[in-house]
Amino acid sequence: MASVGVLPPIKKERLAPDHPPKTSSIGNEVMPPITQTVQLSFSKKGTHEERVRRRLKKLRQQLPLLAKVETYRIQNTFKHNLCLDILQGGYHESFSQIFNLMQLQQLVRLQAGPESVLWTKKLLHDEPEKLTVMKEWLTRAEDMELEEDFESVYQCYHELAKYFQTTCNEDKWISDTFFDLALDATAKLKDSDGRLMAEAHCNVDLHSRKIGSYLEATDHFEVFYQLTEDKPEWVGDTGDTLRTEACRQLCLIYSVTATKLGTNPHQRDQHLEYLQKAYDMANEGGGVHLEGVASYKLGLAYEKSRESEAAFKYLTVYKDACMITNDDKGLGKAYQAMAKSLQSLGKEDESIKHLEMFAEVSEQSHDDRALSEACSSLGEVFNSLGEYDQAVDNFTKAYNISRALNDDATISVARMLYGIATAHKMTSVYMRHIDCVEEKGFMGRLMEWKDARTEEIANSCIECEKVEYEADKVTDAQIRQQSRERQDTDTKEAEAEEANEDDKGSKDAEDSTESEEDASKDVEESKGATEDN
Amino acid sequence: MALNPLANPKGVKRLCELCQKPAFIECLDCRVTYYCTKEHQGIDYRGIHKKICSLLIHLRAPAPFLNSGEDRQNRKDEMLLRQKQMIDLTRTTGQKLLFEGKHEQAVPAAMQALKFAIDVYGLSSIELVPSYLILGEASIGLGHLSHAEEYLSQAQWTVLKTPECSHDIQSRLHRNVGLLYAAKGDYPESLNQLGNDIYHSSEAFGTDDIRTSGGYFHMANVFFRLNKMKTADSLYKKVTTIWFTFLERIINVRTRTPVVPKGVGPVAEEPPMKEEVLDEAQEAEAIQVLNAIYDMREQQRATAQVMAKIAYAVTMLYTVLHDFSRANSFIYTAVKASKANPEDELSKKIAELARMLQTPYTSGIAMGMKI
Repeated sequence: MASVGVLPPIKKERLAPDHPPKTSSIGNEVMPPITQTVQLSFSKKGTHEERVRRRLKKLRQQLPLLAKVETYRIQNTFKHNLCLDILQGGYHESFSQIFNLMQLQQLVRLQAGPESVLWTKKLLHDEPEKLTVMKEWLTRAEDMELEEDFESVYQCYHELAKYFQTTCNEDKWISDTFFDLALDATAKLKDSDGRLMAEAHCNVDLHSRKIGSYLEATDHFEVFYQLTEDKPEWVGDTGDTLRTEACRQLCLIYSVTATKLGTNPHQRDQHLEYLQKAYDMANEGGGVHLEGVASYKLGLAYEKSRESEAAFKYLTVYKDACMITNDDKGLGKAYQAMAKSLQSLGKEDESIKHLEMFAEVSEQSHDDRALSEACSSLGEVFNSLGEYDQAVDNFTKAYNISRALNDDATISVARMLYGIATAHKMTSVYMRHIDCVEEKGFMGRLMEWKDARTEEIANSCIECEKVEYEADKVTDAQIRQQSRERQDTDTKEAEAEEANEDDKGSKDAEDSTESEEDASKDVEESKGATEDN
Repeated sequence: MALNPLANPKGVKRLCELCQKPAFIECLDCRVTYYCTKEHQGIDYRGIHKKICSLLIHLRAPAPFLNSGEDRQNRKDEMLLRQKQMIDLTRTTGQKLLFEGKHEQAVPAAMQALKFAIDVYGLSSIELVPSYLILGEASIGLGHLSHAEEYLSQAQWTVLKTPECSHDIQSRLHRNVGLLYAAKGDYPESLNQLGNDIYHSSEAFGTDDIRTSGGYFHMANVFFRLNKMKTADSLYKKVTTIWFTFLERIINVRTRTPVVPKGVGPVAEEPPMKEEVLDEAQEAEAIQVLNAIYDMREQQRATAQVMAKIAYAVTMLYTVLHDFSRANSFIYTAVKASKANPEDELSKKIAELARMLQTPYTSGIAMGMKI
């Protein structure tokens, strides 16, 4: 065959160093043992440059000769060398993982642009430590996968994910990837009871929850929940059964979802539904505290949608839970909420009872703010019931407490409420004066003033005085005439007139109380406003 | 093939196209190519000349007399463009011949590519490297390891002198050097080089590209020879998966039913999906790699699932290449293997493709073939 002759000579440039350097011949040379130290004293011969060159030559001779691979090692980046190490062992999966992670990170960073926060973060290929750890675990996992020992594969990925959880916040996405991989590994397990799978699900969704994708987390946890069904023997690291863990996490997730939905008024039904789900979960295995909290939230939501009976039921559950856990603050909150729902049910007496308990509890726990709240709530109830003495008492208490606390907003509100209650209290005295039979003149004058009331207050006052004066005269004259002409008239007629006037007077009184109620409403509104502020 | 014996006129030196010795015969079709012996002519003709015979006339004919500088410049530009096209053509041909295992024929093609590249880019350009690489690989295939080493060293040196050299070229260089070491039996060094190949290729195309799969394949072969069966197996699996996904994408694009617009109204023109294409060299590579894996799996008596996958991949390949008779023979194996677990996703796909292949006419239309 002429094929040998076919291969043509390679054209070479005359001067260009096209000859590849003969590295092999250098490599074969036996290195002389280094015995001498560098001579710093130089012979006088030669110029300065020559001496420097000689010295450099000597120094260079002391360096070890590098094989080809070693030179490449020095030339290449750390990332390159690491990838080479992995690939030489045939670990293509590990290589793909690491390489793609780095690529992804760079891509995300590029998309975010140089002005983003990501730009300032350290990239993965500048962190040899992390890469080395990753390499170790991944290659081990791949080895195990070749041996078809998927449980170990799971462990490896799991360890790796945990490692990245501990490093820093920015690495969450990496540990997320590895949790996912761990989950995939459990899918390949054939003859296991599914415990690892359950754990993997748990980890994946714990993680996706951290990064905020709650819907995904819900899916995973629901699978986890189903997997742990009828498996009371599975105990986690903390000593609780996995089932309990599932319930607890699901409860948390549901309540978070509910809170999100709660902001939108159109999703009220879903909001309630999620809260109910959360409560069911907590009821099953979330522990007393969690159950209490869930029921409290549910109760409040029911109260908000005006289903006070249901609200009261769940709030009672919360109260019991708080009693068990000795949570005074919670107990106070429970009593307060219960009182509110009782009030909207129309059971004022019980409401007062609950509020008193609220006050008692907060007094015991020395929670002054709660106590002040309790007092003002009590005051409000008494106020609406018309028992102004007690209302004033309570408002005084509330006012004093908030003064002691030196909290401006509550002070002003308390002061206002106190003022209103005191005013209300005065109304009874006022009424007594007006109703007074002996002093008919009051009522009559009041009536007239009311009839003649005009826009301008000053004018009306002057006119009033005049009218009153004249009226007084007229009435005096009339009375005198009447006394002269009808001295024998029955006293009964006079009594009847008085009675009529009484009716009018009482109507007046009612009017005045109404107007005062309006005023108190205004005050309440203003209170609401201040609270909002 | 008609040949003219040459009576060389004085002062004109005609050299053989292949060995650069004095030539005595010329090709009658183009009349610009000369050979020393008929043997060389035959090799060249089978290798590359068949394809470029007519194209060479334009390139090698003596330059006509042109009056204006503009014309001269135009001609120069045109020549340059043609030469570049020739580089592409010859290089791809050489690569394809290599994948088909015709190492001897690949040499003339690579030589032509090298010549044109030298003409266009000069002696020390990075553009020469692909040709060197083909020559090196051909030499490895022919068993001339020293020649191969010479060519590859040349390539390596050029790459080393060009630090901004693309990842693509570096990967191919490392692949060939790796193959050389494998042929020499220096497996650790070979693995190192192939690792480099995969690294650079991943930088250029991603870890799961068909252009990266070659590195995995050769690496798998090395592990196979080192008798590390499990690693080799997993690597073969990786190669299969890469080709599998790639071919599946093509099939999906081709068999996609266009959305029929409902009701009256302006028809929203959806942009046609871009179909990835295999060039000739890649086709040859696919055939070589997938068939090799298929044969190996058959010998290994692999599990039904693995068998189904590779058989399906080969079927898809032949379907894409419009070679329906071969596709039919492979789909038979695929169907047989997929019977083990008929509920599988893969089995469903196989059944669908089998149904399509049973009616070659319609499938031909579906596949966009001109009938």
